[in-house]
Amino acid sequence: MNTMAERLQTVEIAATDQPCEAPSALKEISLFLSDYASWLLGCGSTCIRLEHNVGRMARAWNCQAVMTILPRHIHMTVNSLDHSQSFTYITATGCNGISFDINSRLSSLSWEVADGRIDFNEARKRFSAITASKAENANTVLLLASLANASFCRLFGGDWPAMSVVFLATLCGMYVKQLMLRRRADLRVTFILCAFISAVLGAGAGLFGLGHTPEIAVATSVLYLVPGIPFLNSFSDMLAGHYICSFSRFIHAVILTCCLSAGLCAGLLTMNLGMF
Amino acid sequence: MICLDIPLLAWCVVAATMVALVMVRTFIYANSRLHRKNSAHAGKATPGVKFFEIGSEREEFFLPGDRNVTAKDYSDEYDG
Repeated sequence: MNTMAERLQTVEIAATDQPCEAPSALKEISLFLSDYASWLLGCGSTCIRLEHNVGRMARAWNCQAVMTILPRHIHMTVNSLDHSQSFTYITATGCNGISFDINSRLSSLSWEVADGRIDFNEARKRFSAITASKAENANTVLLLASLANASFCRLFGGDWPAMSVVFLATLCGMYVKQLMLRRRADLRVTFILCAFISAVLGAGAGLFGLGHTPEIAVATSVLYLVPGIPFLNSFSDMLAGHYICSFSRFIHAVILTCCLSAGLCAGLLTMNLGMF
Repeated sequence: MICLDIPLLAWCVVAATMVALVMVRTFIYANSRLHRKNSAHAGKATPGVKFFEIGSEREEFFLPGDRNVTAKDYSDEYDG
């Protein structure tokens, strides 16, 4: 009986120039690739990157992976090259939060598998280590995001008092955002509240007569909330032909932008500032 | 002037709320660290002090004879 393991072992023995070892079972490969895909999509990767990474690893392990990528789920089918065996698994997309670090490390992992530098067991160990790694320090993110937003204010022509006001407004808004998201508050309500707080504090430049560009301070104080990654990923998916994911991401980004605008408008109205 | 009062009041309320939030969070963090240090010395785990907690109203106003809260508690009107 020519089982999958025997076939893979035969391939391993025959292809002596291929340093990578074949994994033991199709099911293990399928489960691993499903987890991998779930994490990669949850970390903010585009669909095309997900397809390439998973396909690369499947080819290295002498099998073929086909996916249906939906906004909240991934249907993964892994089959042997001669299509004699296949395994289908449906997994939910992870709600991990966007992380460029995990995204890059998972992509590097797929290249290491494809180059034959690591085998299946080592890939599984490294995947577990990557997914178990700690997130960036919240205080560091808070400080750097505030500095980045203050730099945006400078880019748009703001002076030093406006930059300081934007720094403080972003610090407060981002702090509330981290607090609320840690307590699993609704993302849309969080955006409205944080935009309101930042807009009100950002309007302090005009209220107390600080600097000569108070309008730039108000406008740039909420820029840290703009959902740039969902918008970019949406267009990337559209170009790759993944219209369902593209549309889903676009709608999500539009909703968040509307919430941001609602908070900003509420802040402007409260501070008696004209919008046009 | 009325047109200046509301914006100034709003700004002060938001700023004061933020300052209060930061102070309370810092106090709670320092308190929990102190508890953890004392517990480590005493060799037992002690929960930190929670000033505010969100819970079900049944935990506050429980009377003997009330139904137990279950996960499938969809409706309070029909008991059949």
